[in-house]
Amino acid sequence: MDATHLTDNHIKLKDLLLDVLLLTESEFSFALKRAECETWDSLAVVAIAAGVEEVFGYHFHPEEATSLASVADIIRILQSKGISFEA
Amino acid sequence: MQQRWNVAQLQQQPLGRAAVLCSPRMAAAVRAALPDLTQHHAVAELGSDLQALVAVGGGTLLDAAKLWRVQQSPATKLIAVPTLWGSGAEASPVAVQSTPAGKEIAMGPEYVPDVRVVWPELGETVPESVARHACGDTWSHVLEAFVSPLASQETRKACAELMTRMLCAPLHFAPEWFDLSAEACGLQAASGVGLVHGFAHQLEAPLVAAFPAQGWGHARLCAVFLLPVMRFNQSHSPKLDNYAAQFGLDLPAVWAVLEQLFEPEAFAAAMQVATARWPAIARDRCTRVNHVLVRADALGFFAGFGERQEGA
Repeated sequence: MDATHLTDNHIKLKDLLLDVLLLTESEFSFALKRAECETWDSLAVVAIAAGVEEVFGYHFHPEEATSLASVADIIRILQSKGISFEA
Repeated sequence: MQQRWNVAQLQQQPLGRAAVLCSPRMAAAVRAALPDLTQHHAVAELGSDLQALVAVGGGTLLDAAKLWRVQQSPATKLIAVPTLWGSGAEASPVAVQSTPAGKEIAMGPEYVPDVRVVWPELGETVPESVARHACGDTWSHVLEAFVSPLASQETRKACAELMTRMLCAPLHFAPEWFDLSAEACGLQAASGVGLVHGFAHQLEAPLVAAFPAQGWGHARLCAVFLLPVMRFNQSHSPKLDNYAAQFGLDLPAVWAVLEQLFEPEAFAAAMQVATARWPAIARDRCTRVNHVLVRADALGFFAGFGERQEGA
C-alpha cells in the first residue's frame, strides 16, 4: 500500500502488529497473511485481540479473533464496526 | 480427577511397589512418616517398575517427578507432597524444566499428579522470606488468572472468591496456604498468566547468576513484580477495576497486599537486569497473553516505577 494513502488508523494498526507479531518494518505489509507469518500463532491471536481493543476500542469475539487470516481481515471487521480506514 | 489426601490417608493407602523421592533435607521427616518406603534423592535413581511414587518437595522436585512419570513410567501413580506452597506444582498440568537455554515448559493433563497430599507441618520451618515469596507466587497466579483474556466468567468468579479468602490469610506460614495455592494454580491452568510470569521466566536465571546469595527465584520474582505489573495493567485498561466491581472483590485490600509484597530495592536490582533482557521478556509466551498488550516501549513504565513508588 502506498504510504501516501495510509490513514492514522492504518498507522496505528501497523504499529500494533509490528509489536504483536515481532516484525520489522520491512517484514510487514498490509497484504500480510497469517499463514505467511510464523509469529502469528495462537498467542498472537490473544495479543491482537487485546491490542485492537486498546487501540480501537473494539472487542473481538473469540471466534472472530481465531478466524482472522490476514491484516485485511482485521481492517474489514473494524470497518464493519464503523472504524474508518478511509482517507 | 485429582484426589486430595492428608498425611494419615497417605500412610494408610496400600501403594504396592512404591518409593519416595525427596531431598536429603526431608529425609528424616519422610522416614518417620513413611518408614517402609525406599527413599531416593534424584529421579535418575528411580526404577521404571514402580506402582507408586511419593514425591516430597518444592516445585522443582515435583516438576522433575512429573516429567519422569510422563517420560519414563506413565503407569506409575504419582503422589505429590509439596513442602512449600506457591508453585502449585502438586496440582498443575504444567512441568517446568530449567535448561541452559532457559525454562522449558511442558503442559498437558498427563502432568497432573494423581494425588496431592497436604502435609502442612513440612512448611512450618520455612524461612519467613521464603514463605512470604510463596504467598506472592500464589497471589500472582490467581490475579493473572483473574484478568487473563483467556479466562471465562466462571473462572473470574472463582478467582474473586479465592482472593477474598486469601485476604484473610497472613503473608507467612499458615496451613491453609497449601490448599489456597493449589486452587490458585488450578484457576491459572484454566485461563493463563501474564507479564508477571514473563518477567519471572526471563529474569530468574540471570539474577541467580548475578546475585547468587540474594535468594532470587521464581516465587520472589512473582512477589516483587506483581505490584508494578498490576499498576502497568491498570494504567492501560479499566478491566481489573471492572472485574473487581463485577465480582465483589475488595480491590483496595488486594492493592494493600501487593504493596506489602513489593520490595523496592529488589525491584531496582532486578530492573538493571530486566532492561537488557526486555526483548526476551516482551516475547515470552506468558507476556504475549498478558491482558494488556505489552508493547516495546512498556519498559519505560517499569524503569520509572520505583521512583514513582517512593514519591507516592
